[in-house]
Amino acid sequence: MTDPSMLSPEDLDRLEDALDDPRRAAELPPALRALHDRYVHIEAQARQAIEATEVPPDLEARILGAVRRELERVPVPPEGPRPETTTPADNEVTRRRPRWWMPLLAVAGAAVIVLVWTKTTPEADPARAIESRTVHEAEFEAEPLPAAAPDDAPATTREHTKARPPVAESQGAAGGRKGERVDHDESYGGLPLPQEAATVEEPAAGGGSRAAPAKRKKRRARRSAPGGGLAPDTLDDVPGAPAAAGVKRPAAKGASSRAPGTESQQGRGAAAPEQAADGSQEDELALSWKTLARADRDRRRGRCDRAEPVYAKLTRAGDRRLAARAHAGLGLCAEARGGDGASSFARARALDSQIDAFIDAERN
Amino acid sequence: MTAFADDGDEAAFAELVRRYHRPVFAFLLRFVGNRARTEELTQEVFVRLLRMKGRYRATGRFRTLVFSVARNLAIDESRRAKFRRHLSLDAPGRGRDGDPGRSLGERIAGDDVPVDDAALAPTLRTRILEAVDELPDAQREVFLMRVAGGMSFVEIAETLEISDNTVKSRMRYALEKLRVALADLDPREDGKETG
Repeated sequence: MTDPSMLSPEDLDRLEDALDDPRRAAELPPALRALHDRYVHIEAQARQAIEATEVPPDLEARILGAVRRELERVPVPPEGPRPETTTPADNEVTRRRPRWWMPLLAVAGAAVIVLVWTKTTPEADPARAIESRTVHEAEFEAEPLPAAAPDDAPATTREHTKARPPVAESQGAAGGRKGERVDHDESYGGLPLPQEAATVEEPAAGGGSRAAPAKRKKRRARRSAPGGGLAPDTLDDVPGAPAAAGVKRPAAKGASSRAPGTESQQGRGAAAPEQAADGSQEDELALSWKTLARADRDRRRGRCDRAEPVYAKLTRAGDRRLAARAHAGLGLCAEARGGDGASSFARARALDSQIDAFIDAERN
Repeated sequence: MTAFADDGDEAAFAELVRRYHRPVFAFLLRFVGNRARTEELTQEVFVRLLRMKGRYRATGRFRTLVFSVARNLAIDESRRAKFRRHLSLDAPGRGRDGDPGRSLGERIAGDDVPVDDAALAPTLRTRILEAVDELPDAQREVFLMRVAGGMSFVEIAETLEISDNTVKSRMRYALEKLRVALADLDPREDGKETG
């Protein structure tokens, strides 16, 4: 008989294929065919020998009994891997292998922990921001008024102003109608801001304020527009503001297209903050009002966590009205969280007796 | 099996037991070598299959699943058996008791000696079983799945997670070893072969 060790790999492949598919045996050459037939014969004899293995006659009954006992037991979690993975490796090693979802579960759990941790940090928690407000105040006590921020440029301010929604035309002198959202950055309860109430000095004559008088006249003229006069929201409204002080700004974009409400700021701006002693103080004050306006926007958007630190700073402002607005803002934030803003409002009234109109309008 | 998997039909499972318990027993016996232990493991195979009921998807290859479970139990048992070192009735004597190549069961009037004249002669059957037991584990499991389980090479490959070609090679090697071991019993083996 052919020695298999002498067969080529191709012959061996053909022989093996014929073992799998008997129909291929007819294609084998005689030498391979003889070997194939011998293999088939041995396989048949082995099958016969194994099938002749005597199986205990009661084995089937015992197996069924074990199955019934298993069915009667309290349901237990199924054992073993899934069928598609059971067949290859259903053994102890496979069962102890970590499941594929364990790493994903670990990553998800870590992500949840990080999210919870970040949300519970004081910076992210408005409530804690309120609690730490006194700390902030102490920290800011010795700090100067906020310096100009890069985005406090007048041009940016103007663009911000233009982007704001138009103020309600019906802003009247009474501080805005109830039920109407009155943007009190343009309209301080509809009441014109008394110039004498402002503590910011008019810009001193000089280069820094050359353009101020003319511009103030313009602003006063526009003050008659609805909305009255409220604390300025833009530097344009602030005497001694960088614009008035001669600080160069990019060309105003569509300044004439400002909404009426914004125009009224300019008139108010002349009244709200009085001129600073010098250009730098005017700049700082203008920036402070702008900062206050930003804080008010944050507060209205529900971001008291961002507004309160700013308010806290501005309560130390030299401008009484500015400080009063800041205190009012703190009180409004406190009320927004269900707290009591009475103490803040009291401080605000002490600085500005007319602050109640603003507070009432904001509450509505 | 689909009926059992879907509806938990006990009668369907009983039919599966009836169909497969003998080949599973025969398969396990060639690995375990101990009849009593083989009976226990055979029961365990079907109990485990029962527990897998909810996860079984009717792919038409329940036989593959049966022998996969049986094989894994055989592997586990062989590992445990390494520490037992006891004689089994069916394990080849390997020279013990002065009668090499014959199991204790063969020396005792075993009850598994076929009665049917058409069946293999006891000597031939014994020699075949001995030769099968002498096969390396990798070849033996392929061979037994083929002859005891009636599985195709594709099914064996799926069960063992190996390629079809590997299955065919192992089967050929196993058959060649058996051919050599049984050469003296085959008149066609005229002694000219050098395998």
